[in-house]
Order: sequence, then structure tokens, then C-alpha cells
Amino acid sequence: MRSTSLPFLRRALPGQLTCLTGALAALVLIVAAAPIIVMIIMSFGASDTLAFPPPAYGLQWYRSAWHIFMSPDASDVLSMGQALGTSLAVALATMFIAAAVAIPAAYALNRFRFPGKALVEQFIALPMVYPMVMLGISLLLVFNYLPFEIGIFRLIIAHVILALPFAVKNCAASIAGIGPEFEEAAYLMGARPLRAMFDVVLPLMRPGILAGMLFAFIVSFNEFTVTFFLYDVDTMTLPVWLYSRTVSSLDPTVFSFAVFIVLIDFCLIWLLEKLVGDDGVAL
Amino acid sequence: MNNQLVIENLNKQFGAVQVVKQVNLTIPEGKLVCFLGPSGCGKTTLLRMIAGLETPSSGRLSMDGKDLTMVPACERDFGMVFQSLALFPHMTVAGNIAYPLRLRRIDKQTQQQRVDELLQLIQLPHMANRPVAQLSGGQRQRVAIARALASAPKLLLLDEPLSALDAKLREAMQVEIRLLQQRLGITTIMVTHDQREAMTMADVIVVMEQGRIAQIGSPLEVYRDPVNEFVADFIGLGNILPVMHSGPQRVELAGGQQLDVCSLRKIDHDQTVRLLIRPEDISLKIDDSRKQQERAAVLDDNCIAGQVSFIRDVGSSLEATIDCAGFSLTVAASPRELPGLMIGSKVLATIPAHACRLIDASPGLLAA
Repeated sequence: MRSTSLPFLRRALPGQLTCLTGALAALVLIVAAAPIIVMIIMSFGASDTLAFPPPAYGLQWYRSAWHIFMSPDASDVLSMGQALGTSLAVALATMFIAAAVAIPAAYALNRFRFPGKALVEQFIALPMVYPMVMLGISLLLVFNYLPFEIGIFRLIIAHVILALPFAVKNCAASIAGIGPEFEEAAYLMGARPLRAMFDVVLPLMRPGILAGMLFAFIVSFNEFTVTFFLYDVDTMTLPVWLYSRTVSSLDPTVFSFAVFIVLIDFCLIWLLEKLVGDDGVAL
Repeated sequence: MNNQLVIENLNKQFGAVQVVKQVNLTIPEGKLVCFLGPSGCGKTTLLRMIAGLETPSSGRLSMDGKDLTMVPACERDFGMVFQSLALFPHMTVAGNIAYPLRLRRIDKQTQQQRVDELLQLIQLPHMANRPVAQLSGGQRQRVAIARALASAPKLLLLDEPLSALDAKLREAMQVEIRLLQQRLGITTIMVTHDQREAMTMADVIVVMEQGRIAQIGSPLEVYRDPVNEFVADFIGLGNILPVMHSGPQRVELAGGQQLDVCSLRKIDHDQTVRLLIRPEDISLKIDDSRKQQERAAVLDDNCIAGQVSFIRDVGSSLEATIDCAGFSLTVAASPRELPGLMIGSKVLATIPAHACRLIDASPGLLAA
């Protein structure tokens, strides 16, 4: 009876948050969200300097961003619209190529035993731990060694490499939940293996495939480091374009653009959650 | 009418382990054959080889005289119900049942007719457009059977299809499947580790032990006349006692008690044998004889004296454990016949000679 009168000393039952753990969780969330919060605050600032917090607030950087977006001046190497177009094209291509590679890879890794399987799994996960700068330089060397120009595919190939761990992991998580008996049932009913794949396995894998594709899109859309080594004037992506603006003259317009990009990302992540729910996504 | 599946010298090896050893078997047309055995006895592997989901290491499978050994599963035209049922969750009930018909490019209208017919057959006529996830366990079971039957296969394979159901529903489905199978006259092979299920449903039981066939026979044959200790122990309850020969059709029990037996099988004198007595063959009587000679007179006639050490009375039947000199017996009886029976009661157990069967002391296990 007495323990109920002392709520701070009460021992939490399993599954309950105590004040301490709740406060810790809130702190971590605030730290994690800090960059985005700062960015949003700065985008509404009304001074020419990058002082934080801004001395005054206004919409001038949004106006300026709108202006740049609608009528780029000659001083810009490339318009934002073009960069956005490149980013979207690369992200879409990355998404589809990553899925086309990840689905058979995840299937093979789950269903077959073969020598070197552990090695293949390691290789697929490698881009997650590889230093991005080294990856950019290595790819630059390889692409320059090629006797022909591959243009935008420099970026697509690099992004597919980076997106593959996410795509494969999500596909693998979904195939792991589909026992071989579904395919076997289809065989018994008269389906050839390829037919069973399309009629049964792929529809059942759908949540994982969609999650993997969206991850691939988001990874590609936000990728900067590797892209920085590989882009040229015709294939500048949005993150690189943003960076180029902060280098030449650090103008707070970029915050407005960044808010816009983060909004796109938020929509995609929301879509992801909507499509697959909590249990379908593997990070 | 030679529509039977013939299995010849079938073997299956997984690495160093031989899972199925030299199986020879003919599955008669229109019958329900049950592969029965403990887990790991090779019964599922044998079924999967018949289905075409596993390639035999050696041996031959044929039906109607046609060699099936290397025919892929999708061309065998067998129906199969999996342990997990493997209903396609992204299709409706009708979609699942129609899938084998769709693969055979049967026109939409005929498909529809066949689906309706099968839904009638499994008594779920209004469920066509339900998603599979909304069905109960028993309904899923029926849909899986309907799907396996949709293309009118030559052979129906059931891989422990009832193991996911609770006891009461399982018993009901056993009867339902058996009646359906008899009505359609479809040759069926079922795998199970549940001897009660096998005895309820099968025309022929194939008892398997460590990859080999231990015995083939009708349920009652296998129950009444098991070939060895393994089969006797696996099928039903039984008292299996070590005995010594003491004369033609006469044995001596551990306590020195002699019994007349009736052995159908030829058993060599030097062979290790066991005595099998089914619990329901023993008749129990409360021992109220006062005089020593009186008791000695009855004891001679295949009658053993003992004391009750445990009673399991479930209302409809009663099972008592009787401690005798050097061994104990399990006896099944009707509770009404033995009023006043309690733990510690002195009893007389009469065992007719024809209920005492001599069996091999499990040669299968020794050989392996």
C-alpha cells in the first residue's frame, strides 16, 4: 500500500517505463532530431549571417529558394531543377536495378547451399562498412580506366552498390518467412519452377521487395560522398548541388532546399511504414 | 486396371545418413495407405520422393507401368496436402482451389464449375471469395484438400495434414477425410506418427522403422499380430514381457509363472522372444478366494495374481496397472465391471492363451 504513495520510488513492472528511462529516451530523440530542428529554424531566419539562433524570422530564404528554382541565374553551374531531375533519375534507376539484383540474390542465399555462401553474404554487406571516400576514389579510378564514357551510369552503379545491402536484407527477411512448401505445393499442382516463382514466391515477398526498393531510392536520393567523386557537370545530383552552393557562398537558401528534401524523405519513409508495417522492414 | 503405384528398391541418402533403405511397396488403387512411424523414420522422405520433391538415390517408382523416377513434380499429376497446408495467403479460397486448373489452362467457366463442385464437396459453399486468413483451422484444412483434389489427381498425398489441429477437431477431420476418400475412391498415401489416426483412416498401414519397412498390413493385422517388439510397442498399448520357452506353446515369465501361448509365427528355440498381451485381452477379477488351494487351482489356468498399483479411470474406460511377481501388467476394462477396485486391491488377471502372442525382440533395432 505504501509503495503506491511513492510513485518515484515505485518499481516498474516489465513493459512499463520509469521516469528515468523515459527521460533518457526523450534526450536521445532530441539529439537525433536536433540537426533537422536547427535546419528548419534556420530556414525561417531573416538575417544574412549563419548565426544560431537567428536574430529575426521571416520567409526570405524560401522566397529566394523559389526564385532560384524558377529562374536560375547565369552564375549557377547548373539549375536546381536539373539537379533534381538527375537525382530522381538516378534514384529510380538504382531502385529498379537494386531490386532486380536483390530478389534473385536473396532467394539464392535463402534456398540454396553452395560453397562460399558466407563469403557472398559478407560481400553484399561490405558497402555498409566500407569507407565512403575510398569507395568514391576506387570507383573513380575504375570508371576512368574504362575506354568509354558511361555518363550517368557512373552514379547509378555506385548507388546500386550502396543500396544493395538494404535491398538484399529486406528481400531476405521476407523470403525467410516463406517456407519452401509454398513453392512445392505449386509444383505439385503443375507449376514449373519459374511459374511458381511468379505466381507464389514474388507475391508473398512483396512487402520485403517494396521496402527494399524504397530504401534503395532513399539511399540513392540522399547519397553525397561517393557521388561527389563521380559526378560531372551534366550529372550533378541534388545533395552535390546543395553542397556546391554552400561552398561558393554560404547562403541560407540551402536550408530552405534542405527542408524540401527532408520533406520528400519523410513522405517516402511514411509510405514505407504504410506499405509494410513494422515487422516487414529490416535495416 | 493396373493403376497402382509401385515402389522398387527405393533408397535415399542425405550425406552419410541413409534415410530410406531398400523400400519395396505397392500402393493398391483406391486404397488409403498410411506410412506410420516415429519421427525420423524416413516416412516423410519416402512421401516426398513419391511426390517428386526429393530425388531417390537409387531405385524406381512407377505408375501404370510408366517410370516416374525422374519425372518432375509438376508433371506427376499428384495432389498433396502439406503439414503446414501451404495455402496461398494472397489468393482467396476460390483462387487457391482454381490454381491447379488455371495452370492447366482450363477455361474460366469450367474452372468456376469445378470450384463450386469442390466447395460443395467440402461443405464450404459460401466461402469462395473469403481470404484464406479468415478461415478457421478446420476450414483451411478442407480448402487444402479441395485444392489438392481440384485437378482430379491420380494420387493424393497427405503429409501429417492434421497435426496442427486440436484433438477433437482432428478426430472429426480423420473421419471426414476417410469418408471423402472412400466416396471418391482416390488412391491416397498419408504420413502420420499418430497410430490412432492411422488405425482410424487406413486400409493398409506401413510401419516404418529407421528407414525400413517394419510391417505392412491392415490396421487390425498390425495391431493383433505385430512382427516384432518395435511394431507392437508403437501400435497401441501393450504389455511386452521378456519370457523363456518352457515347452511347445508354453513360456515362463520373469516371476516363474507359466503361461500357455498361441504363437502363429514360427519361432526358433534360441531366438530372443517377447510376450505381447494387449490390455483389453486381460480379464480382471477381484481376488476374494480365501483358501490357498482354491487360488492355486485357478492360477494354473493362465491366471496371474497381483495387486493394483495405479488406476486411470476416465469414465468411459478404466486402465489399471497390476504389479505381479517380477513384472507389471496394464489392463483395460470397463469401470462398471469392477466396482470397488482401488489401489492396493488384490486381483486375478486371466489371460486366454490365444491373446498371448510371441514376438521377435525387435530385430530391426538390433540390426541397425
